[in-house]
Amino acid sequence: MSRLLKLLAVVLAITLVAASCGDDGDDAPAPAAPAEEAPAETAAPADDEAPATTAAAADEVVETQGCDHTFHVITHGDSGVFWSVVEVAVADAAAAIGCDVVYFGSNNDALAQAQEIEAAVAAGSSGIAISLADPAGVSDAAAGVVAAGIPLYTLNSGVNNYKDLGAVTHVGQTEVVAGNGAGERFNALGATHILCARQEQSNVALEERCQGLAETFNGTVTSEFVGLDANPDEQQNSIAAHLQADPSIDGVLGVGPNLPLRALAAGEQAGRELVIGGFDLSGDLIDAIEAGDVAFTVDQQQYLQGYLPVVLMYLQATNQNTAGGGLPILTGPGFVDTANASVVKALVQQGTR
Amino acid sequence: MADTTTDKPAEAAAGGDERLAHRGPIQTLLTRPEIGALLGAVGVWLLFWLVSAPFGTVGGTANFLDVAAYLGLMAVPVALLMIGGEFDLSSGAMTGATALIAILLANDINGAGLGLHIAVPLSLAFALAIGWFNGTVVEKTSLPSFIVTLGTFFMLIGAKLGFSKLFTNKVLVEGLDEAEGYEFWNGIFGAEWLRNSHLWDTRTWSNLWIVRDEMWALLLIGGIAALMIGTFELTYSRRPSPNVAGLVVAAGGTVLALVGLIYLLAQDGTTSNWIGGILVAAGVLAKVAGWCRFRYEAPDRSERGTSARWWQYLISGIAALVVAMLIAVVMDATDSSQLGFLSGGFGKFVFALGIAVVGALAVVAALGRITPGYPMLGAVLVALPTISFLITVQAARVILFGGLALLGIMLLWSTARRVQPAVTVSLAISAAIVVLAFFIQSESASRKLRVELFTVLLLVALLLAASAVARYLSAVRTTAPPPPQFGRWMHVCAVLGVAAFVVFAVIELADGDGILYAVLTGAAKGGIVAFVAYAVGTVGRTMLTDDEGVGRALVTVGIGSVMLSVATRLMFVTGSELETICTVGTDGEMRCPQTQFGVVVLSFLVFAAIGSWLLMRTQFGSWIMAVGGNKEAARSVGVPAARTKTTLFMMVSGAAWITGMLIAFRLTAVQANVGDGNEFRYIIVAVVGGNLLTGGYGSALGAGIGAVIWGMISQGIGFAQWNSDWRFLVLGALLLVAVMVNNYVRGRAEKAPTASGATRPDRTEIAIVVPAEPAKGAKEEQQ
Repeated sequence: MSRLLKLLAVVLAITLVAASCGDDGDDAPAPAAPAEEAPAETAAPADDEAPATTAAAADEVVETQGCDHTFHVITHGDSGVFWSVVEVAVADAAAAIGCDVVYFGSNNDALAQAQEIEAAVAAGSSGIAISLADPAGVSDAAAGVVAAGIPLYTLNSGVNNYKDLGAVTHVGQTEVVAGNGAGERFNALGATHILCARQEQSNVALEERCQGLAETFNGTVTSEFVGLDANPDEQQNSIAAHLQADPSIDGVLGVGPNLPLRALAAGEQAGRELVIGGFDLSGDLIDAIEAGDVAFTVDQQQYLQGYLPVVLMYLQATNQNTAGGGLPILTGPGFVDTANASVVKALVQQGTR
Repeated sequence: MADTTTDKPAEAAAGGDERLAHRGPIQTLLTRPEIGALLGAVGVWLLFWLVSAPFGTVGGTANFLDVAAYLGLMAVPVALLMIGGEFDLSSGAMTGATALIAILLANDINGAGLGLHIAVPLSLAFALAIGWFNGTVVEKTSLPSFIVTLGTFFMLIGAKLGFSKLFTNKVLVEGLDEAEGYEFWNGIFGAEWLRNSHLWDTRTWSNLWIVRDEMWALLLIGGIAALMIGTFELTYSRRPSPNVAGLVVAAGGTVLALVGLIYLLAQDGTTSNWIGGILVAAGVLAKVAGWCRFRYEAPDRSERGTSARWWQYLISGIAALVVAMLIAVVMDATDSSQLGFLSGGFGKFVFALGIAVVGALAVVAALGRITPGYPMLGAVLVALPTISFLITVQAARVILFGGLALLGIMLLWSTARRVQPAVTVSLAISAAIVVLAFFIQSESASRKLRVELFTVLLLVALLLAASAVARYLSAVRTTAPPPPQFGRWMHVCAVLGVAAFVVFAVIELADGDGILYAVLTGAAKGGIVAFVAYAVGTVGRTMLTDDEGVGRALVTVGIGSVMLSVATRLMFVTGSELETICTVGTDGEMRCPQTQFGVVVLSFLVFAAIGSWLLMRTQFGSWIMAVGGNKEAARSVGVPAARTKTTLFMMVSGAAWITGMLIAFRLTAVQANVGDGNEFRYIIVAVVGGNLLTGGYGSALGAGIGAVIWGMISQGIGFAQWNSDWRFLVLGALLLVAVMVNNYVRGRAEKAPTASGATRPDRTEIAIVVPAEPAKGAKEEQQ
């Protein structure tokens, strides 16, 4: 019996491998994987004008020789929709400048992020860019970067702390400003009571988006946690519960790319007409915007947050340029609505927006 | 339906002599592992029903059931695995993995998608292979499953991420709806029961000639009656020869109750409500008393020594409660004017004083020779006029009502220590519930509490009182009744059910509904026909042949009826109900809340039923218990331990596949981290449901109930509009309470003596006995 099962498993494993290999073989240029260890292998032309797409033809690869700098981008990012674009951007930028850039996402583990930063310092990095989702957790390690004389940049989160840490500049969006923008959009759309739905608890950035919304929005804002992205069914049902409990809610702002779609389904479930706004992008979200079901989404253009720090670090290392002039470099808010949805859609499918 | 909670062979086999002993159905229920979860679920539901308007509606129920179903679908097999002594930490990541594999394989990966017809079965094969791998590695290496599956967990997370980025360059894998074969598979995994499109308020043949509300009420009342009589049958000894006079009384009581009910429904007013209610209560009590005299043996009271004092306490207690309620009703709760001779409250005061004096005299008369009563009464009589100048009508009402109610309950309670405690305890509790009902009715501003809760509380009190009467009149069984012999009748039911299914499905198809609706509607109605056939056939046959198993048949039918009643209410809508829930939007479009039950809810219920059946009624279930309890011992008596465990691991990963498919077809796009971290939720939910972390003991049904508790809490917080920041505090506290209640109730019930033999000790001991020194506790109690 057990021998039979073993045989079955072996056959199955072979089938699976064969299936995936077969798929690869059909297309000559395999889509480049932004692998953590070897970003330099990423196939892309050395072109510093537009962000090169990773699917570019492999033939044109120009391996820049002689770059003796290694840069590090160490974020709190998880493996979600958002951070994968940053990762792609880092790989694209690395290919563009022709240097080794190591990307590391700590998946919201401040300790792991701090350890990775210390390791980068020890490895003699030429420039380190970090995100400051948990400033208290990584500030010691960040101080170590500055003490070692390595240029420090912050990206995504950390606009309030980058100066204190001695970072050159911050590349990102201020969450409050982004929330403000969403509030003004909702005013224009005529909503009166917004549920600001969050997919994480105790995440400062998400809370700030809701605060920013409340600052500019003329009506009422209810800010609630509705369930993790890992539990999409719970998110939808929680939003529906809020809608049923409070009939005055006529709009939902999901502060992530998945929540607007959950809000759409929840609105149908509760039989309610909603104005829905979102944050960040995904293919399905853009489809919903194109169809007019979701009004808009706030795009912080995170590709810039991955690409720019690498280029800035490169320029500082090779040309002693320091950008920003002590002020943060804002990458957003940009908005995606029915007007530009179709253009952005193509870019999202490439994984660069 | 087979998994009633009244009996369990596997458990009975555990102890030698206990097989011969008989535990009453209630006591058996209390020793079940899931009892704490069940009580917890009722409590949590009540809590959120009280604080939130939409929580108790059908929409709210569908909402929390949906969350519970995704959890419970996994929690049931995870519970079985835990009972088998192992954990599977890869179960959460597995759900997302199967979804991801199906979409990746099916879809256009570089122009070479396999299509869903190949991808879906392949993902199942993958899931089963991982389950088999987990089980085999655990068995071969003897490593703890905690470690092995932790490895699988990390590998799965890494593989999910790696493969989705490799193939799509993104972590969100989209486009399931564009894959080949989507329509077919979506019909299976994405199917939903849309309640709004299932109108049931016309008398047509396909609606079984009955409108929904009639059906619902009929099934509920019938179910409760069957449960009650079934419980009596299982608890009390049969009379050798039936007592015809009792039967006449029972018939008279039934008629009286029906007259009361009809009067109650026909008239509308406070007085008629009172009269109708009292008629129903008197009728039900007379019916129960008559039935018990007709069918069950009278208890042997020679040792009990019923004294006149007992009756005095009982009557005076009831008198005090009645007076308390009268005061609550007569005096105005909103009147804040002063009592006293000069104010408008004078008349009311005199009236209240009058009833108070009568009540107090009744108490004193009943208590007879208790000397301290006279000076106390005198003090009260002197004090009342004095107090009346100082306090308001409201205050006097609260004092009189509260004081008398407390006195009444204490008197009833104190009788519990004298004669036949179980009866008086039930009576005291019943009386306390009545007082609580009246208190709520007179104090609450919410209609939900004043009308709905009031009615339910009165009914609960009536049922308790009826069971106390039955207990007083009937001798308790000393041997367990044999299970009923179903014989060929089950085949007849099955044939009838299938025939009805075909007929109704064809009727639905002819109406132009889709195939899925036709199948589901046909299945539901065919199920009802089969159930009715089973109920009539089994109960009728066991009654006619004087089969001892009639009690068990009745309990099964009762539980089934109540469940069907709830299902009828949840699944079908009436036209008038639809009118009340729909609204017209600003764009002039009609919008109705779409209450929907997906395949996930159905799968969850089926899983819970199959899991319970497996565990309680099959050899495989005994193997699970055995390998979880002591693997080596199990092996030495011939249980195939390795195969059992591997099968359990594969069941978990198989369930993960179903969950993954359900998520995939619901969203058509899956993020790589879907399901990660849920493995602990499954384990937590299973523990809440009464499963032990150490294995060897537990319940699949309990895991399902645990999932429902989780769903109710996580959604209820939103429904109640509590701040979600407190979510985990509430969740943690309620889960802890559920587990503690579970342990407490089970501990008590297991310590309770069984009704085997003449040395059966008195029930009051249960509360007092110290486990180490039972004899001493018993002695103290007798003094």
